[in-house]
Amino acid sequence: MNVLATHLDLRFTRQAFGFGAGRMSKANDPLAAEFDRCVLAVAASSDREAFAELYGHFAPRVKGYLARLGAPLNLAEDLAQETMITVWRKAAMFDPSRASASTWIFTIARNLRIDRFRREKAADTFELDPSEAQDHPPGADITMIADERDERIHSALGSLSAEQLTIVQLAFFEDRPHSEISRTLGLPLGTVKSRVRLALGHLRTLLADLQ
Amino acid sequence: MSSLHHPSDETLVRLAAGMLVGGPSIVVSAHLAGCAACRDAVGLFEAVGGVLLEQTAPSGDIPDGLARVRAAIERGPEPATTQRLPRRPPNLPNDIVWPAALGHSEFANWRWLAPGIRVSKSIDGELRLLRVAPGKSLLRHGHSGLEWTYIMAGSFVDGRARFRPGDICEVDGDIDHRPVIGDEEDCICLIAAEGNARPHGLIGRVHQVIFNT
Ligand SMILES: [Zn+2]
Repeated sequence: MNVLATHLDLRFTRQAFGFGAGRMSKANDPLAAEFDRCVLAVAASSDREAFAELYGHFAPRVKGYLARLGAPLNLAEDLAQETMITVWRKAAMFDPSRASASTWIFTIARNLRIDRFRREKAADTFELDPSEAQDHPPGADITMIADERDERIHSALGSLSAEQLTIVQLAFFEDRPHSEISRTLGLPLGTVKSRVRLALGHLRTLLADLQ
Repeated sequence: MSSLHHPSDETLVRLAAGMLVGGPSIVVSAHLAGCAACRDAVGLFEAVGGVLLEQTAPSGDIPDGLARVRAAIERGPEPATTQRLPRRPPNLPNDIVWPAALGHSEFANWRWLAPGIRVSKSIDGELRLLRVAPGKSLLRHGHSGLEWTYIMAGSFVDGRARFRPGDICEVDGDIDHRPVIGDEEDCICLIAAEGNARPHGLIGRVHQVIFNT
């Protein structure tokens, strides 16, 4: 069913996703706040330098993410380019109190990818009304909330067991995750469902206060 | 109206990841519109996606990428593609809340399926609306894949629980059940399924029941 998921590289490791040592957490990482600021600057004044900064950081990551989903190189590039064009055009809809720049750009890439493969624009149906998104003016203090949330998620993912981390990642990278979980982790299909429930339940418990 | 029955975490994470598409994503989105708890969960899982994106190793540069993006921006937006007009099946109850998630869906007229049971399919084949008279019961067998039912009006009991408007009934291959429609009014629900092409979903099985008994 899903063309992109068929060539998935399943060698998920902590290292591949940077959950090991060596990467700064977001609180010590001024980049998250900087990217929020860049999107706001694009929205406020069509700031070309801010956009170039966003492009330099996110275009190669969106391309890499889509390639991980199995997209051929030219398609991954194409969708990464489209994602950045949408970042420019929809910058005014970015609400830093709701999502960090990386989460917002993730949802744009996700929706474009779905649109490419489906006639229906199903993903738009759960995008919130932009008028609702703008009901509080963004400020530096509010910006912290979504960035802090990302930092918490980052450390929560890092504290999952290897098996649970793989389960969460497969949910993002596999169209039919159960058979892949079964194959990757060597679990019988019958137990996969309960392991998925446990892994997601554990993640939500770790992040309960964020919801 | 706060819901008692929600999609599974796995369904919500797949929606956030872009892995739940077509009819199932529309049925689940109809529930999200009225359920803040599930919207928050999807927001959280989207942030997990943002973190995964952030952690993805950057791939090689895109040749002339920024220049080409700038040129596309200069050219201005693409002309909007024409959307299909939404169309509801006729003779719905006046007080029914039509989910915003169905904004692009076009439904055929009601078709008689059995006494007290009518169905309307979306023209893309992704969704089915089922309308069943009060007190009716549907024989229901196992499933070939996951199936999501969003209750728009009325109610049903399936042996595990009572499902009311706003609820999602998510069932998977290994559950057998036998929904009985509540006495109060017609039960109208929106159904989508994933899985094999064998006569799937509630409708297929209603057919089987009707023609096999
Ligand atoms: Zn819910």
